[in-house]
Amino acid sequence: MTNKILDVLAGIRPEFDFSASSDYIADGMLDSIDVITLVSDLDKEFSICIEGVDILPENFRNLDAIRELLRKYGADK
Amino acid sequence: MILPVTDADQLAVAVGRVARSGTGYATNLFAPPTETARWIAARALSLLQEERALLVLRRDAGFHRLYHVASDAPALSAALGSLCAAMPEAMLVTDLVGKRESLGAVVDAHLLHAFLPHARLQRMYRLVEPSADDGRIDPDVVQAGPGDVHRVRALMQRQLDPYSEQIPDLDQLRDAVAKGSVLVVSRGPELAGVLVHDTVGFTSTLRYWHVDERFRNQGVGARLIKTFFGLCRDSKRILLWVIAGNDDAIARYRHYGFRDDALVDDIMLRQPRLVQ
Repeated sequence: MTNKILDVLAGIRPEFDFSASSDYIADGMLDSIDVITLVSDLDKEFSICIEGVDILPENFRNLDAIRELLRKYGADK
Repeated sequence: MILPVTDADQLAVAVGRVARSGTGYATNLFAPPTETARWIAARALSLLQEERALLVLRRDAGFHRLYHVASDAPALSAALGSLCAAMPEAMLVTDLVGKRESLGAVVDAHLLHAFLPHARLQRMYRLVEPSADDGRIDPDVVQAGPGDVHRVRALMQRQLDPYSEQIPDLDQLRDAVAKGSVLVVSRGPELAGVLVHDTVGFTSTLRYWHVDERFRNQGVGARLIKTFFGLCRDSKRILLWVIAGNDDAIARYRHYGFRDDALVDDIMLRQPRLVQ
């Protein structure tokens, strides 16, 4: 799952190394427009539909947060 | 029913109520929490909630800016119909932000309710090379002080389109000055040029870069942007938005190493006079 997430992130912002940051928002690697793109790309990659109530910066802040969100939607099954 | 927004939780709950449906989910409510908190404190926000869409109105100078969160384009269109029926005399301005190829359905929903295209902005970016900008100080370029705020805003008001370029208010400019994010060049008592920037982590954004007509072709703009590049030495990329048809500006940005991003911002206006 981790590699897939990193691939999705690299597809949105190829100039950054997402494995080296613990806070993509504070580090300026993802802005709110990128987060919406990320939600859409994660939906497609993992065949899920992340609800609007979960589209919060804290759920996309780093790899751990994204993994936890995806587990909630059963993406690790 | 259109309700005033009185606190951030009310807005968050309203956004969370909008269910997503596959890939149709659409939003342009991208403002950071600090910005929405400022708007709420100024009592500038109101909202219209429907089952599958939320519209947020922000009062601006003589018009409302419109933001949406919608399950899909039909839900957005239905909500726009309700809004236009409730506020037939309101002048509405909206920014539709996304990849070029993904905006069609959202633009169509607005066209259906008499919104007309006003301008398109495109995003450009520049990767920062560690050794490219040496950070030399140009004595002609200084950080603006509190006393510059009014003349900076006056220059922006003379040169910018209020619908597509969101002129900062005095409080926003005071905050930017306090953060050291406003560079100016003066010629005698006159403000010759201004550059406003912003940095979050590794990303810097060039917000405004303007030279007074009387001082163009004198190197003022070049001095401002080279100083700005020097300040961005610790960033990894620089972003900006430019009007898509402004070939001179785009050529200038390309000259400084900026390239096209995939994102565009279609600005659409609904003017009651034209609707009638």
